[in-house]
Amino acid sequence: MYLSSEKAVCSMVSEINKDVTAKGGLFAVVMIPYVLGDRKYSSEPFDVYPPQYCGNAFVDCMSRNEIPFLNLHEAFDDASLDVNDKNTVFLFDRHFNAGGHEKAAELLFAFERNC
Amino acid sequence: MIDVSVVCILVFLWKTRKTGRRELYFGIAAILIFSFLSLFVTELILRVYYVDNLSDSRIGRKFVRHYNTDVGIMLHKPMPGREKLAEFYSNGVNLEKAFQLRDQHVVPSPEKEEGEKRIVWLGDSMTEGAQVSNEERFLSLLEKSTGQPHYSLAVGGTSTDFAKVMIDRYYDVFKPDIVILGFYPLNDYEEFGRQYSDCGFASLFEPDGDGFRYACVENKKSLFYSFFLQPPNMLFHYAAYWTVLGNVLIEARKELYFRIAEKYYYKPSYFHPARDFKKLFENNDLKGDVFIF
Repeated sequence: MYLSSEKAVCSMVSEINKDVTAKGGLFAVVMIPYVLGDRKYSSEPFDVYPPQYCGNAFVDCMSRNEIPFLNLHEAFDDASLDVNDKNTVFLFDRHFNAGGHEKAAELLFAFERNC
Repeated sequence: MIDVSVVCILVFLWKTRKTGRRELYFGIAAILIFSFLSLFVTELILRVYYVDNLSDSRIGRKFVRHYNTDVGIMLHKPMPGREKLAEFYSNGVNLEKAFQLRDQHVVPSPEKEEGEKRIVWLGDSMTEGAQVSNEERFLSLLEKSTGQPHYSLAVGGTSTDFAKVMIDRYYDVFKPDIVILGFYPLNDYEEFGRQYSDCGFASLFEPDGDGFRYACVENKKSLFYSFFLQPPNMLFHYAAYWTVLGNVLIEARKELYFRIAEKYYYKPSYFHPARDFKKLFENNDLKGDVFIF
């Protein structure tokens, strides 16, 4: 709601889109799920990431600019519990975790193919 | 270090077994003080040069204090801020050297093979695959499953304007068919928050009403306090990595720390995105040196 409605991110993404498409490429955006980096005590506002705050506006931004967009958060909803369970096990494995990456790769495979 | 101290004390006791009690106590005290100071210095060095958080890629003029959930407050050089990006952008500073891309890509042939679809990923540490091995990263997994070359220009701690700078510089190098931005809003938020709140680095950051509550470590609070209250210290952190009990202790200590820190050591400030983003972006466009606030 806030983030992408402001000049900052949405404008930057639009600029990248214009530049890439002008050169013949295709630009896409993937919203990375917070479960990839979930931590119990974090300075990072995982809980307020999409869809509650910036998600909807970000999707609007992508839509206006006709940018292929995948919100991995939604796709991760079912998997988050498993991933979080793994997160709690390894001290050095919190910021990212291999389980989350596997899931992300699985979901991104279809997205990339459709691009 | 503790083992060495114990050995030193035992040797000292053996050597001084026939001397007076006063010398004995003095010697033991001296060894303990020396051990403590050694631990302190080692701890300090580890915090300043903690490899995961400080590298040559972080260019800055001064150290900032950064709260890391695993090891507490550390000193490290600031993340690349927008003003630095502007500097890189306008002066043509070598970004590869400045930011040290994790992947040292070989520049691909200008001619693409039949059926080849080059994919360049932009993003931050999430996409870069921080703290995950090269093989475990989703980019590597995708490269295997799709059979198409994936190039990562993602660098931890960077926001969307860095992504723009990177693709401006590298599009013609890789000539990708698809460019994908792995967007994780943290760095953009934090970049704005840092600029706005003069926080140095947001220590705690959570939703509150229509905005976000920042909690900055007050500069007036001494490094001494934050140094000893943080969970856990680096030596303990490394020692505990391989033990279950160590991990349990770390969690317990972390819980305690947060309770104390939230009560006594943080200065709350408030950041309202809808209001403050506008303030930050007044009179700014998106080209070249106008990244500078």
